[in-house]
Amino acid sequence: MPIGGFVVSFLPDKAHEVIGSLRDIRGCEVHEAIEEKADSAVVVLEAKTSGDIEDMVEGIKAIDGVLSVDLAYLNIEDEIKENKNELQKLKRA
Amino acid sequence: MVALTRRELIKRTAALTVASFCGINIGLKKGGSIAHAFDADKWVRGSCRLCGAGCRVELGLKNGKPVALRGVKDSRTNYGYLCMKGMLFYKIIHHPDRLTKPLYRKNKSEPFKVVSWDKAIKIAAKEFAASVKQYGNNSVAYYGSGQALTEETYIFQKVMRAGLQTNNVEGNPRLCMASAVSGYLTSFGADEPIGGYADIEKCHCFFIIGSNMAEAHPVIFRRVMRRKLDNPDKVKVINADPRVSPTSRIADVHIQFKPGTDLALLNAMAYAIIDEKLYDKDFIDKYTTFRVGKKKKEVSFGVYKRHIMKYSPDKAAKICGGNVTPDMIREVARMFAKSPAAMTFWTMGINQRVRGVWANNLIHNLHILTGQLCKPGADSLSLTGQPNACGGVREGGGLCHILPAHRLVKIDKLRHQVEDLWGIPRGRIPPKPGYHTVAMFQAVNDGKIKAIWINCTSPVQSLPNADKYKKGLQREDCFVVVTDIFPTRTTEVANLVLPAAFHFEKTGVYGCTERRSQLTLKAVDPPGEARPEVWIVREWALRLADELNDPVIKKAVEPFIGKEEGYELPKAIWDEYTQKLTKGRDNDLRGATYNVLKRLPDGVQWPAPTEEFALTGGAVKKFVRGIDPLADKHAKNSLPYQFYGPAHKDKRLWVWLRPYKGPAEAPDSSYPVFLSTGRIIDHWHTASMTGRIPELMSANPYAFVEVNPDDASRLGIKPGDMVLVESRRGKNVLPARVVEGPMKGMVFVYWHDQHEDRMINRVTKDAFDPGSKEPEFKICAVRIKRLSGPKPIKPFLVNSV
Repeated sequence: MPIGGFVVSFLPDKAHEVIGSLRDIRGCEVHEAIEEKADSAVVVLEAKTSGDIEDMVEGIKAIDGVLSVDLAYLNIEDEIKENKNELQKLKRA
Repeated sequence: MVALTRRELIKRTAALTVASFCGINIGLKKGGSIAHAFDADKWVRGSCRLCGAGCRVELGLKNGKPVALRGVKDSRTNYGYLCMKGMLFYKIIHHPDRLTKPLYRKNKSEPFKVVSWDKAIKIAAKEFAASVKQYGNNSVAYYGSGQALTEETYIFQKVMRAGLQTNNVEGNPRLCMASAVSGYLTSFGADEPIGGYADIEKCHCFFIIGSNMAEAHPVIFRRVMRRKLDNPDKVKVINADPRVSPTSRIADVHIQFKPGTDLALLNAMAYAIIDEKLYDKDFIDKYTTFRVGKKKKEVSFGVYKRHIMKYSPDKAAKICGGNVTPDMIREVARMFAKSPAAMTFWTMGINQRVRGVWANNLIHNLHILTGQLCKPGADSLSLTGQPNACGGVREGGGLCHILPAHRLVKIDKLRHQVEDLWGIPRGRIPPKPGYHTVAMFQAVNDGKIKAIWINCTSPVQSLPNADKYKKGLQREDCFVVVTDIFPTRTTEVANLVLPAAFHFEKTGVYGCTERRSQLTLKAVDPPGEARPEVWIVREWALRLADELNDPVIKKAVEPFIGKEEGYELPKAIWDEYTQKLTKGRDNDLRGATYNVLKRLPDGVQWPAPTEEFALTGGAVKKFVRGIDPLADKHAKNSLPYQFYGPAHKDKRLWVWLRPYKGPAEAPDSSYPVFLSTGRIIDHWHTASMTGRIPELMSANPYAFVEVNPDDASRLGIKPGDMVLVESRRGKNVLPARVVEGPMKGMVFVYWHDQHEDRMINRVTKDAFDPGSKEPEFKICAVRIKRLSGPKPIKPFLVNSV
């Protein structure tokens, strides 16, 4: 399962609502900035495939008040391993 | 250090990477919110509650609740650094398992019932009074702790001695420091080290023997490590230990000797020093005599030389086994003797031995012979295990043979001094010392002690051969009072459990390894009905006076009646102890008033007879003129060092002739393996505190047995397999860790685990040193056997009473 680290920027006035919406997303871990009146948060997304993560990102972009969602870290070791296994199975077949 | 799954680690890495790219400050924790140091709106200064290092901390409060701990930067012990334990112990303060109400049961088979404080104090007084009336003064006992504040130990022993007329006053420092006390007294004429941590940064050769200070005293070890890493060629580190530990990692030489052969090794190092003429003749001539036997007979240097010739490095290497060679012994002796300044550190590996006092003497011998004392960077420094073993118990009179301020019970003059200072009739304190720890619990077993008060310690888990002594404490004819903050293995055998205030919930002084006294101020109220011990003892004494119709008992606590318990009461006790009892003694603390201690970031190293001198921080080195005011005061000649200690009439250092002696129990065909025990970095003592800190408990949720890979392969033991560790006294079943730690033929077990299958003191031996009466926890013989493959293990804590 891939894991991605993103920075989500939002309107400071909407911070409370945005963080609340992010917390409702399954597979989304929110790390709020410690500063008061923050305009961004760190989120860690975990999903079955990187395609699913892309869908989650699109969902976050659609939240009212969100300005951008930017990728800063992606771990896909597990996915590569799983894909390799699948390929080997296919080859054998 | 916190245990994480791989996925959790990746997720944290993801979060931190993003945060660092974008310059966002985030707090990381599994669920919930995290307390940030900078959230605190108030900081209260004190000492760390765990270990004997004496690190200074500040407890952070937000809206009156503890949220953080941080190190004090200008403290001369830790310079702002803390270990994980020191950073996290604030979490204990409001822990839901805290004992909050007095609990009582008449019979130990019954469940406890909540009682009022008034009733609890009355019951404790009635039981102790009834025991005294029916069975005599020595049928009652107090068993205290090197974690109790000095004020607490002092008032407990005062009530026991002046009030109940018994010297049955003991404490768990008997299990850890007693050999060091006797070692210092017999070698230097005075207890406690000459120097301190300030020597570390000037030291050129560290000799660390019988101590895993990297785990047991991590912040002090950090100073040693920094010194070594900053001067890799100039500074040498010698580590002597049968086990390769994290401490060994920075060593230039690791001497791996067979358990119990340390006396041969130390004597052989002295041989090399004599043989190669590496000794300091001038220092020996000026400051030293040579002594032998129980009568402390003085002998010549020539007699000592002939004695030491029995321990040639060739012979010692054969006794020591392991990796020890004659050349290695000579090499380390040269490193030590030729070094511009050498320092030795030791802890339980030396003290918890059936000849622990002799082992201490032989370490001191090396320092005396080579003049590695009193000069900057040189010292023979015993590290203490508990935060107030030195200050409270050694100095405050917390053992059966000592009275406050380093006075021996058996010396009439000193006993009468104490009686006069307390304003009680002469003859009130019995002239005979009470039971030492092992004898005390044997007396409980034998039905001789009918009422015992156990304060701030858990002997059911911490005594050697624990099952044997648990049986006595389970007797229905022995009334057991326990004062503590959490349920423990010992509250399980109590009749009366009294909830005590924790650190920072009361005020008082801790005295750490290096003669340093430091004040911790009350910052928060105790939970529920928990009360400070000083209040409990005062109220108990007043009730005892009524029960026994004895006004002298009341007299013992009279100066403290009516004082507010959070600050005024401990201050009054501290004032009496320091101003009256330490006056004119070698641990003169008259300058270390609460006012002075509050003004200093760390504290005061005694002797400190005046406030003016105490405000400088006190005496960095004892016995050195110009540094120690008592060295100037007691000077008998113009020499720079004045060994004025009370135990040596000749005011000299004594080099002792001590023969080699092995352990009490060596392996044989039935029990072929050595067992040794010790601490792991994340836990402290019986884990009643550290086991309740999730970060520490998840890092080390249970104890395990370390097995050498050669032994493991021979016995078919694989990592994680369940292994039986069995001695003549008891057994444990523990998961195995196969590691190049203990030497071949030896296993090592951590002693913090409270689960009955993993309480290693059920296996250890209760043989003790005839001088210090300290048990030989560190060595016994066991057999080990693989029982099964790995099994799931749940962490265990006693969490109810």
